[in-house]
Amino acid sequence: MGTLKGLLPDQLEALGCQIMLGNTYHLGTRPGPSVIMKAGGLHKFMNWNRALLTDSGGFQMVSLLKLAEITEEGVKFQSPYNGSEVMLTPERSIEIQNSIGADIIMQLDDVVRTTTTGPRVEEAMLRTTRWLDRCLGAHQNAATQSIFPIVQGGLSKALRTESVKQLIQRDVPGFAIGGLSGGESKNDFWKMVHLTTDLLPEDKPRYLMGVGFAVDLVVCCALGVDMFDCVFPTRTARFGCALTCSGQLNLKQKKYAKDFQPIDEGCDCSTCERYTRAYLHTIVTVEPVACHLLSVHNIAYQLRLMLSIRESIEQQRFPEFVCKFMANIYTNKEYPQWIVDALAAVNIHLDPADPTAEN
Amino acid sequence: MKFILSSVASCSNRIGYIKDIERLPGLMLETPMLLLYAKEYFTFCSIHDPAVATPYGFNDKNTISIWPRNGRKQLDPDKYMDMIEAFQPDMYQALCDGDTDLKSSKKRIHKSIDKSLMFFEKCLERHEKSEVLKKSAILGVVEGGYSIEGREKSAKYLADFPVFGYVIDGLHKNGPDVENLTFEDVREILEESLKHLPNEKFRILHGCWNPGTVLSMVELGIDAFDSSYPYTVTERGGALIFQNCINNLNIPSSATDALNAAEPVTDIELKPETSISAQSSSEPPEKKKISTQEASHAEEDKYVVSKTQGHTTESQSSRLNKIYELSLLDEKYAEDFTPLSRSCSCLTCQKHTRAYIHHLLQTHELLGPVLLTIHNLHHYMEFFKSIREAIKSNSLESLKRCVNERNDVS
Repeated sequence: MGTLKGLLPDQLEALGCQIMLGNTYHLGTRPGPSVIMKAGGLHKFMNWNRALLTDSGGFQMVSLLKLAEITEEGVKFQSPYNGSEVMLTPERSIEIQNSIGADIIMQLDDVVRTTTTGPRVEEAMLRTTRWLDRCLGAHQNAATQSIFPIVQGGLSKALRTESVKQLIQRDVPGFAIGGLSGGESKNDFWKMVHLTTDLLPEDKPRYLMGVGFAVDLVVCCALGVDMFDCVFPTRTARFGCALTCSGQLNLKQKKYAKDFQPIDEGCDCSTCERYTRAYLHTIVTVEPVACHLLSVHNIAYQLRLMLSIRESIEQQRFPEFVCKFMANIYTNKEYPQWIVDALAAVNIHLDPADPTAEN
Repeated sequence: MKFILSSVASCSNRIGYIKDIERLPGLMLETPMLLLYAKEYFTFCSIHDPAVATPYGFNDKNTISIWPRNGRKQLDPDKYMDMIEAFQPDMYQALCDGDTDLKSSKKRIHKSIDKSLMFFEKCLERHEKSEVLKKSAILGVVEGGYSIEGREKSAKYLADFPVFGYVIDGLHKNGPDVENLTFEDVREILEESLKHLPNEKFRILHGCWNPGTVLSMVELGIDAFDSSYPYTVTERGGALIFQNCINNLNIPSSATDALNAAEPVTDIELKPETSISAQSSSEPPEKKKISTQEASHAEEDKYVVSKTQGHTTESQSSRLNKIYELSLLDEKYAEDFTPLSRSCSCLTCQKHTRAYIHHLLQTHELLGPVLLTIHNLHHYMEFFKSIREAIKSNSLESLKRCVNERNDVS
């Protein structure tokens, strides 16, 4: 929407945010590509001087609009604003993304629900490759905007493998993994991520779309993912939830009415510097500023998590970091099986008896 | 805490200082002031939120009603003072019944006066006995609705008590409709209230008054106002752009900026009064066309010194507001990549455009009101700086004229 839940670009910079995601469907509608172009691109329109990434606009249409019809041509849907028929083609998606001017743009993909089975999944995967080529053909700004293809294939090993095989034949600067983070079981989820990252080239970034719970982030980093996006930190802020290393705090709960600690003693964000849980308890879901204050904290938390991951990798102690992280969340050491399995697949062993899991 | 005045004429503008604030030694606040002082979080406790209309009625012999989120609560002086002792504000007003406005009956007015006096005595008693409130200042509350005798009675009674100052209350019931009251509506009773109060004491007047009215009230001798006006402007997607100081020559923004006032364009050239002001601009005054200048002042007089008693009509007040603000929700700003105000140094004007703010408001993004609030509060606080400077340099009339001129920078 051209903003992050009321935070000033200055605040985001101060929090260490390097890149923001802009939503092509929403921005393409309001204010529209013409206004953004006149402003000189989305960076200038928002006055954000760091990086921007736009999605293709396809996901919103499939998820928000019930009347979307997908054909080889593109995605046809009814405009919610005036009821007229709109067709989003790969070419049009790239055209809008070119005018928005983000640093990284996404191909329009044919995305299916993870719970879909049957020939539709293969159709979508193959069509995604064809649409990639159309997107590449339509892309006007290869020098200034990097386009990422999106690996599809649902929960099928064979289809995912084929998708990667086709996409890596194109000359692209990075890859996105799509079609996960929906309703699939965690067991299926991690296996597809693992399979895909094993197949993708090592020297190009891998962007797992729509993944953002802290635990998922840590596991997927272990599995070889480099980039993520998620609305979770800001969405949950709206409902009064704050993220901490030991889990979520629902500040609406009465038990915080007289809790005069900050959300997290160890957090240096502006919210934790000045406000107590008790104060936040009185304003969450009531005053708009509560959303703002919690968003600041949750974003700080999320970015700090990614920073710790990076630091632990650089300092060759990533496995220890993961074990400690999991132990903080699952204090009784009852780790969900999928996490144990996923980490074991990359040689990180969560074991209650494991000394490295001790704090 | 001390309030020190540098001028003591009755019913006229004043420059003052609040100092020796026990909780914040070393802090000095100049008046006239906005009760949102940036420096050190000086706290003032009122009873109601002046930006939100207070439901009327719901009062009985011994209590008034307040309206927290979880439903109506009744307050008597003891309950009220219990709360004040818990909050320990630097300054607070006594409990009062201010449930009067232009339409109130004599009976209601007299009830409000008598109850308020009774509340006041009880609050003062508690205040003087209280350990924790030794560092807090208490204000008496002048009531009387729109009755001259009522005002006289209330003010005279309170004048003898050892309070830090006074809240002039009972002119309205809060909320954005207060903007529709003109200075002429309230002038008489304000004058009456103030003339019976000791000159050297601090006076607050709550409410959503527009800048022109604020200036008139400053002239009469009010020392402090609250921020309900800039807040209300923000809530409707407005950005304050009235000229908030004497010097600034208006710099036209662009050819596409149309004038906002409902009035058709007249040939006015704005000119600051350079003769009186101590800080004169380096630019030479523009030549004015005498006849049109007179015409514009006549128009101005219609707004600022309304001869009509009683209510202002909706359309008059909305035209009035157009002088002071831009409506950022208006489509015409969709592609306006200029700042809200070229001469404003706030973060919003330094870093963002009208088009962006318009977009944020259209899409109901929280950042929209955030950016507007930053600007509106800044603009309004600069306005108060100008008021103080104008009083010191005896140029309040010029400031009044600048503020009320239709702003060609729209």
